[in-house]
Amino acid sequence: MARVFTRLHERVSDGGLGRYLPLYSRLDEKHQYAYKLLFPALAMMFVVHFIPVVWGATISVMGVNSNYIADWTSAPFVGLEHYAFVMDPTTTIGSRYWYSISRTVLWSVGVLVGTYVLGLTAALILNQGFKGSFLVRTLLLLPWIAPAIVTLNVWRMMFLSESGIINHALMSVGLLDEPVFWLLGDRALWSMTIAHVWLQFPWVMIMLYAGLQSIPQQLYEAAAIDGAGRWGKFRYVTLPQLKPVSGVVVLLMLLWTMIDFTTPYVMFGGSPPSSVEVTMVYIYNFSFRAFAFGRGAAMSVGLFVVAMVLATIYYRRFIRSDFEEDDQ
Amino acid sequence: MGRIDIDGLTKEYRTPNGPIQAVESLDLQLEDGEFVVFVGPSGCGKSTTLRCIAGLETVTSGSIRFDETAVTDEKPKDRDIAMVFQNYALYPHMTARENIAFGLKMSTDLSAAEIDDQVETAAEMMDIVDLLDDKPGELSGGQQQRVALGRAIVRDPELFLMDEPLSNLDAKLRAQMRTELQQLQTELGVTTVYVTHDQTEAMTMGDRIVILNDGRLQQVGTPLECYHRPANQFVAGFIGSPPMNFLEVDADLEDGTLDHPVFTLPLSDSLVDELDSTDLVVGIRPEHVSLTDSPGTHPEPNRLIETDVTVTEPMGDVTNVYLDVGGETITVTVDGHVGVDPGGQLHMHVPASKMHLFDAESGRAIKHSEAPIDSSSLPEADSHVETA
Repeated sequence: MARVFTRLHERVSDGGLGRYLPLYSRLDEKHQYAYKLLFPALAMMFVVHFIPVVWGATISVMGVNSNYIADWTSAPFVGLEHYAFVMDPTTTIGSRYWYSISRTVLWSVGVLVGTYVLGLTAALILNQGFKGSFLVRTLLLLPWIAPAIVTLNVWRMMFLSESGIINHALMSVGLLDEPVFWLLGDRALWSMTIAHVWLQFPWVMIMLYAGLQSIPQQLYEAAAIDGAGRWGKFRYVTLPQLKPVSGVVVLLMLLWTMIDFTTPYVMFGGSPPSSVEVTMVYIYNFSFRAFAFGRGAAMSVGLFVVAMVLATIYYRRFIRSDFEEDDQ
Repeated sequence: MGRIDIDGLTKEYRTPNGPIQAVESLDLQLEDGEFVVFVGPSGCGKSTTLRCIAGLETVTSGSIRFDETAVTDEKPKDRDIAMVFQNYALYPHMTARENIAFGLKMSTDLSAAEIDDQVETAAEMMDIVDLLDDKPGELSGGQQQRVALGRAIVRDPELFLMDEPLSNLDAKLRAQMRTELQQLQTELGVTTVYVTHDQTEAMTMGDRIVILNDGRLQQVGTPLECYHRPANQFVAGFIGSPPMNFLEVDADLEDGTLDHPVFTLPLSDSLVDELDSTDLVVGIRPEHVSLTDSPGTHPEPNRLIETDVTVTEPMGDVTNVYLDVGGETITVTVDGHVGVDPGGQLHMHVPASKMHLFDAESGRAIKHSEAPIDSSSLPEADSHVETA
């Protein structure tokens, strides 16, 4: 392995790269070195992210279905036919696709609100620096560290109508008279949101906690002298100071939830109630159960575009201005 | 209003290695409109005392009263104070205008227009009207300092607290802001407590200075009192730059002399009667020592000490001369035009009227310099300047 790197380094150093990459040879030595260090990560990103994206986009314009599983390259070029088909709201498939997108957005926003509120609350409590906060922090991180498949299966069992502990607990304290079907109908979206919030809030908590710790104590002292109470300090110091990190947290949480497959699939399997049939599950069923790879790929690209549009709007509106201010 | 009474103030911090006393039973009275400077080395308790007055620290024991009102347990916002922090502590996400307005917005019922009026007035006083719509990140250190001061004066508080407000500025700006702050304080007439580790700031700015060390009060007095009548050796060494010279001596009570391995100085009879210890420290300020190369013609040959010149530092107006006296270094400042050659031998004269004596063990002052400390001697100096 070491020899591979040495040889790679030699090849990179003797100007080999420069010949093929004129932009690279124009960089000064310091930047060239930086790119050499970045190279392994970039290569990994290329293989794991870039190739599948291009591959997916390619398949979306080709008639890949069960007939071409052996050699997808021989499938015919169909142009934008798949897109027109899956996005036509007048067909069953198209209307289900758009419905799944709306469920995905609803779910993502729900998860976002839940994780942010819970994460911020936990971060604020941790930031009080009480005795044993180290232990509490570690405990609170557990849901995030534990394998998702275990956590989600536990949630699924807890939500079960007959044997689940949630119905049992709610009935024993008198909040419910009879068992509720948590995993069916519209309630399934609530259950899935709760389980996913539980899974993801520790990450939000740790990000916001780091953000809280970087707020200078003097700002709170200045605010105290300026007459701000607890709420005033939170509203006028903490929240604005958390804005940059919140921007990143919200963006990532939104995108990650939109493309999450684990939670809906583990909780509801391949045939979920329609309220929780999010786009990722729909695409999976379409591609890998019906083997309509071309159409599935077109749906994926559609989800990709929706996510990118939302992310771009959000980025322009909330994040970019922060960094521009910092640059001045 | 604006009179502060501090009575037996003690602040203890709990640490894993046991409690640490940051301030020990401090008694202090500040008069209305006074500019008081707390000065001392790092960890002397000056900032802690200030923060106790501000209400940012809880007091372990003792009490603080503003006029007749006990505020020891009041929250900062209920004390009618304004504070300027070392790092300014401006709210980074607010413009200068919002920073200055914030205190009024939080603690008064003024309308937006009234607040804006007051912000404008404060900004005019601080000469930052053009900067009001900038955020702190866009301002230089000096400008941020002005905004921080604007934020303090707009509140029209009973008490200003300033925690090393100038220490992040460069030397030139610091000197300029020093004067400006004094003018501002005189104009507003608000009682001000100013914390610094810089004895020059203490000397130049304070109506009175409070010198602290190890959490204990060393001396309270006007700058000149502390300079010429230091209560102990710590104050003597801390106030003044270059610092006072110290030489350990033994008092010979029978002969009436102060004995040092390389010299002997005469001791007046009245002083001999006052001494209760023979281990003493002679203190003499660098500007009170005079140098001569002809000891034979000196009027007080018995107060001359033979020395070797080691280093000279010409500063322009004065020259710092470093002398070796039996292995100890003595600093002397002489007029800038006096030529002194390193490596030469000179005699230094220690005048009795300017000499200080301290008890070597306790550091307590036994004898002071007789230099005048009251301001009545100043008009003469002024007229002298005019006629010159």
